[in-house]
Amino acid sequence: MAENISRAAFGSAAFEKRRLPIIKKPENIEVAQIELSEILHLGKLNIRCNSIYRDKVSKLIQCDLPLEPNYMSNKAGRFAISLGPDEYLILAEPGGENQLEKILNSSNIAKHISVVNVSDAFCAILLSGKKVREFLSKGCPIDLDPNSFQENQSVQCDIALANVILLCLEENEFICICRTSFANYLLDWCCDAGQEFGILVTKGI
Amino acid sequence: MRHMQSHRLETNNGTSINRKKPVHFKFDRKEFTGFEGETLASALLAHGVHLVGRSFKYHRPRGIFGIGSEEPNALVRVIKGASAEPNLKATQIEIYDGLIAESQNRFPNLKFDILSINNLFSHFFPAGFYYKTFMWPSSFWMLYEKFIRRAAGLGKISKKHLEQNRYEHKYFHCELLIIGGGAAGLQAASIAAQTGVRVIIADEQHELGGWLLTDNNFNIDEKPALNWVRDTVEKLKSAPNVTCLNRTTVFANMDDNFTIMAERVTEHLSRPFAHLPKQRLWKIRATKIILATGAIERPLVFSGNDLPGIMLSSAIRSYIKRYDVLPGTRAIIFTNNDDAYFTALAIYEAGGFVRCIVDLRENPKSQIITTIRKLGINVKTGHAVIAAHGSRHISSVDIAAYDSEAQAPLSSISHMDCNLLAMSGGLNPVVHLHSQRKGKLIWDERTLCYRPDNRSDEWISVGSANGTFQLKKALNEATKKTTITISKLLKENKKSKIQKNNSVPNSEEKQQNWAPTPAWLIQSAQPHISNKTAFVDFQNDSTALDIKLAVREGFHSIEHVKRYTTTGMATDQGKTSNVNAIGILAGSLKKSIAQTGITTFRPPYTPTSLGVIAGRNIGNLFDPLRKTRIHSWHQSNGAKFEHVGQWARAWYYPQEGESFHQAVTREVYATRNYAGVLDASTLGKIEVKGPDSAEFLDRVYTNEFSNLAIGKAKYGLMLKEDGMVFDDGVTTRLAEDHFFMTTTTGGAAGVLGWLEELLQTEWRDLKVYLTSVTEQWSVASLSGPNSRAILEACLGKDNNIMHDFPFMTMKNSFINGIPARIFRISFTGEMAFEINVPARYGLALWSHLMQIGEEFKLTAYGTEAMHVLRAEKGFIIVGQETDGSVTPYDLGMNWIVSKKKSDFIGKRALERGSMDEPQRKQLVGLLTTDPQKVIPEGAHAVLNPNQEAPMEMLGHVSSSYYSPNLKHSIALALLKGGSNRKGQTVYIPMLDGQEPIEAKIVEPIFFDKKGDRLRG
Repeated sequence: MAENISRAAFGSAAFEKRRLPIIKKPENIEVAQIELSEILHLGKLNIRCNSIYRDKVSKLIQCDLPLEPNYMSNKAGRFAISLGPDEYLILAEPGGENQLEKILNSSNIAKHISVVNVSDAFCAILLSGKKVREFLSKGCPIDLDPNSFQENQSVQCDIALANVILLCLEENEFICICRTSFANYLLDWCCDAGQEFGILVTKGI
Repeated sequence: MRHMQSHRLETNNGTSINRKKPVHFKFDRKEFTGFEGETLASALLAHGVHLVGRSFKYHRPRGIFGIGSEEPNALVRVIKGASAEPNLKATQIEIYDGLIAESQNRFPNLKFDILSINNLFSHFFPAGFYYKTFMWPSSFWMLYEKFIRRAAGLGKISKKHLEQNRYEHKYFHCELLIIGGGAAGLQAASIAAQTGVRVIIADEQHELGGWLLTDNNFNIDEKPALNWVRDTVEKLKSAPNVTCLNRTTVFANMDDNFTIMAERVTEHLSRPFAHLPKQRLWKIRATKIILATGAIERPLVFSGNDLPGIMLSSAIRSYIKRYDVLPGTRAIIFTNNDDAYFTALAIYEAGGFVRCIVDLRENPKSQIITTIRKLGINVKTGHAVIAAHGSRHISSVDIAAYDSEAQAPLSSISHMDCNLLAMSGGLNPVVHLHSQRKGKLIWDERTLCYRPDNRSDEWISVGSANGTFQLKKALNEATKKTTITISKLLKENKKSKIQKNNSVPNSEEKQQNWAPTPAWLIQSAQPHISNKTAFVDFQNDSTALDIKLAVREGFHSIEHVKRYTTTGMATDQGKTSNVNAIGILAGSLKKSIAQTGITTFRPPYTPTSLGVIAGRNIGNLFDPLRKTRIHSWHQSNGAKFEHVGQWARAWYYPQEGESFHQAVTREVYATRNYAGVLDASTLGKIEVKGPDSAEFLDRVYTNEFSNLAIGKAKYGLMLKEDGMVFDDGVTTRLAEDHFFMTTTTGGAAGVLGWLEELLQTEWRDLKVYLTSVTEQWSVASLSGPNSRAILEACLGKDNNIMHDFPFMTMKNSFINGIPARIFRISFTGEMAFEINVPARYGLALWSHLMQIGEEFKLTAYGTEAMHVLRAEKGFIIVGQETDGSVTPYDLGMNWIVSKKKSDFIGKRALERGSMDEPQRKQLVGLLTTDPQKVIPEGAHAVLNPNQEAPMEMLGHVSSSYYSPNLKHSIALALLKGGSNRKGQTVYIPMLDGQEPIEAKIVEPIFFDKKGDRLRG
């Protein structure tokens, strides 16, 4: 039975019907300057809690909920992203979301907070390459200057016509989280916009 | 055969052309050769070609008139492969090898244009001609329309344009945006560049420098002016914080310094790089904007002033200095200021013959006039050109002593031949981008121009754009204002300080007398004749006579005159015509110009291609198409899809040879008799958590949820404050403080937004959190008499939950190892289960169901079959049976409106007296007399089909299908007083002379009225 599940899970990546890798580039560019891949089955939890319970939640999930809006914190491979004054998104290793959900829902603050598993509602796309900021600026209205959008910053914004959460990992590395049903649109847009710089889409990790 | 460049100078001084690179192009099928760096207009003038188009209304011959985006006449169509773009200005098109351009608005060709007959009948086409002529008889409009449509419009677009051309968008942020790369813009940019702030400087020409490219016979900063331009541009280009853009037009300046500009990336290349767009739209957020947009020369208004060979004086000077092109050999200069004397000098130095300078001023004095007189050029002061003559080109002018104030000639006319006339009526600062922000304009009596009021420190005008026409003063102003602006910026950013004393580069430009004499209209002794061909707006063919006529007919506001005469409404937005029109209007009204006022400029500054506005939001990127996780199964099983919001939903699954009707009938039949399954994943889903969740639901739904037991589900209606139905869905209590709400597919985002707003603004005391989980769950809706057996088989050893699984309850279990939330709810009226699984397992669940279901005759059904099934039961769909004007009472759903609850959203509105009004439209069922006839949805019902139109409408049909189970056409309708009309007959009149459809009003439920099947 477990085998069934894993096979089912494997088959439902956001880009499942696409033949990968995809390479699009102009002739004068040798190596694609943008790389894109899906981070498969990342655990995602939506947490709602007000400031009174923030420290307690941070302790329970072993990752600090960020105090500043549009920032994220990062500990032991887990990310806590600020989505609003009382809303956070936690990224965890595949399956980790179930464990965290259990811990939070069995704690003594369970009735004051909301913990919702949204692992399947969103997918995570890794974008990297030295032209990645220029590439994103073709569809993303926020200020992507390296001095304005830095490591550990996050933002809810649009990329072209898709609503996304954009996370800056390093100067030229981003995670883009979008609703799964928009993933194929986003991939199409990326392939189109990335052509200019050369784009390589590989199978997820 | 290639034509001679008869008007190209031998001197080789042109600052903007590269003589080493000849460029071959075609205009109107003739071959020409120009040089790299020049525009189509310049290259045509080099061949002595002035005539490039016919005017819009009278089809008069028109020639190249200006040098840049102010050009009203030289609109051409550029053809590239299978695509063609109309209405481009020859003065802005850079030539490239293989360029093909053609003139517009002429048939069969430029020299012989059939519609130029309009010109002979011009007195039949006065201002307001269309308003006056086609008003009556009104029944003739259908006829007029066809005629007008053919005559209207300028240029033709090719249908393949978007396939052949790529346009892109780009967002950009900067601290300082400098618009215009002339002297003032460059000076501002070089100051800003040193401070490290992000700077963009954009100029619409293909090289920076502005008027310094034309007038540069002096030093700036102790070096030749052109070297100063070159050094400054180089410095800017090498600065990492500066983005230096040429070929880029800022066409919109909007709130919060959001500006939009179009960059022509590859359209000037004969072989564009495939990966780069033709144009790129930049959307810029700038903290501060400096407008250094320069100024445009005004023409003078006199009879025949639109003949080819009559050009703006400054444009002629530019063609000589930048492109080595002398547009005519025997020139007359007509001016009211000093600037045109420099044009005379340029013509003289280029070897042309300046026959005469006609100056409106009585006794002008300045150094340049002395210089010109010393050269022996004839200068007639206090004179005017009364009229220009010629058939397709200017050949002579009438000159007379002139009284500017009385607007009349003082002496008899002398005749003088020529083939070029340079006119200069003063300068108009380019205030468009200032005006777009509702920036006010001030009339400056000294320099005779409208200039910005400079009230804002968000956008700041400098140089000629601010009415500061002298170079020295302009550089000084740019330096000062940029320094202040950046100091403020850095203070806000708490960054390093700017050097306070930026030196102003010293310029040795010859001083000009910027006090033109006012001259808005030059009239002959018979003004009613001369004003008829005295053009104000060249592109829209508006004349001085039109403006005077408008005044006589009672249009006194500049806004009215503009619209009545269409002055300033052409694609050049009145860049050369507006102020002259205001001057003429003011004269007619005996008011000052300041009293007459000016119209507001709106974006875009220059015509902008729709392609660049659309960008890549075309084809498959036009709108995201959202697909469920089960989409691939639908696709491989031949489903046709319908779009619900952005979602693609399986509509029906035709088998080989099946029509739409047959497929739907089969799906409906199978679901009623065996089992059907629908992909319901798109339904909106919201987790409602927190101690006050039940109270919250009590407030947003009309019925009570606080009394719902854990594990039970309830259908709810949500109203807006006006008491009208907003959304519906089933909500289930998962725990004391935890509910699972479903919404309609199309309403999901709107409902979540509305509920969040309530929690964040109205009910901040409620402890409730909402989280959208629409996409977290994939949903298979299993329905039909066999559904229970199928579910049992699927559950296998976990099927003990089936022993006690009543209607409107929910159970957690596993299906083939997949964790599932199973709801026993029904939208078909059959026994039904909605199986929710985490979305990643959606396809696995669906495949498993289809596999197990095979022996139970399980059939996948689409949204159309779902519509029929629910209509048979009379279940409403929000958005189909409701339209924002329908209450629960209108739907006959009084049972769902709680009488017990003290309040809920919409309660107060429902209690208003008018809600009981018996003539409100109410939901009814319709059964057609002919069981096979299906009423079109949206059709109107009447009581008497034989009454005269307009008929008295009873209401409309909201849903209508053929029901295969009843073997009868069924419909739902909203009819006035419908609930009291049961048993009455109504008629549905049809289009195209078909017989009206007869139907009987019945209860809005057609099948299994007691609901036995649902409960099993």
